Amino acid sequence: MHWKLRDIVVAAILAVVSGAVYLGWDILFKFVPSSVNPIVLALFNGLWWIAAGIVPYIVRRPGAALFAESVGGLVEFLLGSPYGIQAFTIGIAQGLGVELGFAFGGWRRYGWGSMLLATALGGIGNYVYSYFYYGVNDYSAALQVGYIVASMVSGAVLSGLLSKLVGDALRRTGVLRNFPIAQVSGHAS
Amino acid sequence: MTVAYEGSQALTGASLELRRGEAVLLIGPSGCGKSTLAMLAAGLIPAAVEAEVAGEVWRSTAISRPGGVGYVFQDPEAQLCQLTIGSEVAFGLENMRMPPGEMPSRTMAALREAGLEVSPGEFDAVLSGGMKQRLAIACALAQRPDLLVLDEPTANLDPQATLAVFRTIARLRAAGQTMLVIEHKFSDLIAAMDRVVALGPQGRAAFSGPLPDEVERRWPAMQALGVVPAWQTSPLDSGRTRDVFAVPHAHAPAAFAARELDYTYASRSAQRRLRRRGEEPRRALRGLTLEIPSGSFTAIVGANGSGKSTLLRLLAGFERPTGGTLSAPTSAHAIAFAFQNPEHQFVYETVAEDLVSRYVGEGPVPDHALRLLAEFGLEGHERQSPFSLSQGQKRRLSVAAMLVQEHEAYLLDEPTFGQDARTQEAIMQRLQGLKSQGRTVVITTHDLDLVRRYATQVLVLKQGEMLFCGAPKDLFDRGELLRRGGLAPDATAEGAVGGDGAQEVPFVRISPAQAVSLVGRLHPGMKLLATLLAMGVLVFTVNVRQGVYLTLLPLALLFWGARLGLRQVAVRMLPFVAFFALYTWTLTAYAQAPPGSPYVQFLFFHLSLYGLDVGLALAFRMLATVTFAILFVSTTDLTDLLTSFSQNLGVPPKFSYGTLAGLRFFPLFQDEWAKLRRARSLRQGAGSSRLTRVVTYALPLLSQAIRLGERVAIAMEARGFHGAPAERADGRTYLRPLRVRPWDLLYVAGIVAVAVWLLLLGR
Repeated sequence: MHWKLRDIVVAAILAVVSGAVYLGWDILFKFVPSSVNPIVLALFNGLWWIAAGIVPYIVRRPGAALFAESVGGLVEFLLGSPYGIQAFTIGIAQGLGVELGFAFGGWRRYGWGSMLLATALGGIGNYVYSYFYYGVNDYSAALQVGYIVASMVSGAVLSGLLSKLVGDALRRTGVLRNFPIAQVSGHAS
Repeated sequence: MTVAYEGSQALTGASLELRRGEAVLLIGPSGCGKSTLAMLAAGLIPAAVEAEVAGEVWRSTAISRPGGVGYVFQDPEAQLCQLTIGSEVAFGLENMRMPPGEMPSRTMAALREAGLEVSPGEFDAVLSGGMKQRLAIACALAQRPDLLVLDEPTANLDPQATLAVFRTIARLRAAGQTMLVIEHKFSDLIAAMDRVVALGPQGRAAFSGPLPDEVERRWPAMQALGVVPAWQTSPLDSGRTRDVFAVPHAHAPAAFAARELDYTYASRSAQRRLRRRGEEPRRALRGLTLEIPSGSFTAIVGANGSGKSTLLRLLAGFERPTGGTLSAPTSAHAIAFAFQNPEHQFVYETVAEDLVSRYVGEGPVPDHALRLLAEFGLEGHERQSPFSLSQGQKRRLSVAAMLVQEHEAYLLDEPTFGQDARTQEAIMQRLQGLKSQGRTVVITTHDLDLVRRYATQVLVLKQGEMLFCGAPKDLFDRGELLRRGGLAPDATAEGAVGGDGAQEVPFVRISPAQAVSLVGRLHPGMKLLATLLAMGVLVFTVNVRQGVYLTLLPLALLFWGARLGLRQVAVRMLPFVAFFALYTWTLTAYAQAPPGSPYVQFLFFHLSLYGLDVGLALAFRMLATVTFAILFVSTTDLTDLLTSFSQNLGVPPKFSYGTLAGLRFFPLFQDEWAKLRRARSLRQGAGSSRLTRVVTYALPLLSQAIRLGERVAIAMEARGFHGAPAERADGRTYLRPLRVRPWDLLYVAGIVAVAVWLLLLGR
C-alpha cells in the first residue's frame, strides 16, 4: 500500500492530461445556456473527476483519488480555467468524495461495483461544494435531490465507466506491467 | 549474474568487471541485457527496478555512497524532472544534502565540464535533444560520481549532436573518469575507450578486449552477433569495401516532381500578419526543385531541422506547399507512408487487426496476414496489443502494414532509427525488394552507410534548401558537401539551441521583473492561501458594483505589486473579458426575467435589463476570481509552489517532486497530439465506431505517457531520490529555501481586509 515514486509520477501525468480535458470541458460547458434545467446540466459533471477514477484504478493506493483530482484541478487552474482557483478547490471536494468510496472497500476493491460506487460518490463532494459556492442552496429540495442523483449517475458513467474502459485497454497494451492494476488482475491478456 | 523480470529472463550467468579509472564500452544486440547489467552495477537493480536477482555484486565503498554513481539514460525526455536547468542540476545535490550555498558554483562547473554553455535560469524545454543529453551528463557530474554510466546516451540524437556528446565523453575520459558506456553507434567512440565488452543473447559473454584492436579483429563477429548491420563498414577499414554503391537506375519518368517548392509552418493569418510588418515567415523548405524517378530508391538526408520530414510529408500530400508546384502519384492508395514513431499509426487493439485494418475479434486471422507476420518475425503475436510489442517489432509491424496493399510509392520517415541491426536489415531487404519490383521508395535517414549501400538517388537538405541532388557516389566524393550538410563530423559545430524543434515553455513563465516584484517575492504557499481566502470573500458578492470593486483590487496589484505593463495585463485578461462578455450576452438574451420587468424583443432574442444586471454581476464576480488567479500565476514559480508543500508543510518530497516531474510533460503532450492527428489523417475511416476511435486515440498518448513517467521515476531514483531525501521533508536540502516571513502573513491579512472592505463598500 506504500506509494512508489513511479506511482506518483504516473498519477501526476494522468492528472495533467485530465486537467487539460477539464479545461476543454469548462469551455464547452460555458456555452450551454444557463436556462437549461440544472438537473440536465448536472449530467455533465462527472467528467470533471475522471482523474479520481482512472488514477486509483491504475495505482491503487490510499489517497490516489484525492491526490489525482487535486493535481488535475490545479492544472486546470494553472492553464487558465474560467473558474479560476475554484477549479482547484472543487477538485479537492470531488476527490474527497471518490476517496471515501474507495475507503469503503479498504482501498482493495476495484471491480465494476466499487468503481461505479466510488466515482458516484464524487457527485456528493461536487454537491457539497456547489451548495456553498455555485448557488445550489437556492434550489428547491426536489431540485437538489435531482441534482445529487444526476451528478452521481454522471460520475459513475463519465468518470467510473470511462476510467475502467481506458484502464483496461491500457493494461492490455502491457505498459502497466509494473503497476498494481496488472499485479492484481494478472498478466496482460 | 542471473536476472529475470516477471518471469522473463534478462540475464543468464553474465559477468562484468570494471576497474577504477577504466572506460569500458559495452555492446551487444538489442535485448541482450546490456542495460540490466549496467543497472546492476549501478545498484538500480533491485533498488529502483524490481527483478529477481541471483549472483553476486561487489561495489567499492566509494561508489556505494550517495551520488557515487551517475547514470545517464537514452531518452532525453525521460530523465529530466525539473523545469529549469539550474534546479535540474541541483536536484541531485539536494538529494545529497549539499548546503544550498554551494550548489550554484557546483552547477556551473558541471555544466562547463559537460560542454554546455547555457544559463542555469533557462528552461530546459528550450534545449535541443543533444543539449538535454549533455545536461543529463552535467547532472550526473555535479554529484562527482566515482562511476559514470552512460546507457545509450545518443540513441535519440542526430550525428552532429551525437558527436558533441562523444566529445564530452572523450574529455571526461582524459580527466580520468571511470565510465561504463553502452553504445550502438560506437565507431567514433573507440578512440576514447580503453576496453570493449561484447555480450551475446541473455548477457552471455561473447568477447572482450582492449580497444581499438578488438574492433578490427572482431568486425565479422560483430556483424554475426547483430551489433552492427551488414552494410556498415568497419571504422578502422582503410576504404577497400567502402565503394559498394547501389547500381543507379536507368532514366525513368518522374514519380514525384517539384519546382520552386516553398513551405512554411506559419498559418495563413500569421503569414499575412508578418507580411504586413514587412517580415517573411520562416520557411521550412525554400525553393526546392527536384525529381524523384519512379522505381528509384531515394534517400533524403540532412541534420535535424533541415526539413527532411517536412519534405516527405509534402510528397505524401499531408501538407500543401506554400509556394511552387509539386506533382505526385494521385490514384487512390498510390502512396504508403510510415511515420518515425510506429505507435502513431496503430489504430486497432490487436496486431492482426492493425495489419488488415479491420476488426477481427475472436475470428480467424486472414492467411495473407499470417504469412506477412511470419515473414516479419511476428508470428504468435497476432492477438497481442501492438503497443505491447518491442521497439523493433513495432517498426516491423508498421512496415508489414504498408505491404498489405500494393502502392506505387513507399515513403518512410527514418525507418531504421533506433532499431537494432537485425531489424534494420529486415526492413532494408523488404524495401530493396519493392524497388526491384519497380516501386518508388523514398526514405529519410541519418545513416550514410545505408545511403551508400541502397540509395540510387540522394537529396541533401540544409535549413530547408537543397545542397545536393544526385547519385550517392557523387556525394561521397565531395567531403566538403558532407560537412556543410552536417552529415560528416565538423569540429566546430556544437549543436545549436532549439536545433530539433524546441518545445514551448510549460505553463506561464515568470519573467525576472515579476520574480523580484513585491508580490513575486512573497511566499508561494501564503499567496495561494490569500487567493483562496479572496475567493471565499467573493462568494458574498451580489451586485455588479461589488464585482467591479473586487476586480480592481487584484488588477491594481497586477500593475503595482507585480510590475506588469498595461500590455501584459491586457493580453492576460482579454480572453477572459471576451469570454465573460459572451456569458453576459447569453444571460441578457435568455434569462427568465420576472413578469413586468422591461425587455426588448430583438429578432428572436428576449433582451432584458434584468438579465443584463444578473449577467454582469456574475461575470464580474468570475472576472474578479480570474484576476486573482492571474495575479497568482503571473508571480508564482511553480517549482517554489510545489517544493513549499514539502519545505513548509512537511509533505514527503516524493509527492511534490513527483508531481513536478509529471507537470513537466505537458508541452510534450501537445507535440504528441499534433503528430497523432497527422498520422491518423492517413488512416481515416479506420476504427469502426466513434467510441473505439476515442479510446484508440487516447491509448497511444497515455501509454507513451506512462512509459515516460516510469522511466523518469527510475532516473530520479538513480540520482539519489530514494530513502530519506524522498520520504522526509527534512531528509534533503533545497536549492531555494522558503520560509514564511511576517510580511507574507501581512499580505494575507491585507488582502482579506481590503476585500471585505470593498464588499461592504459596494453593498
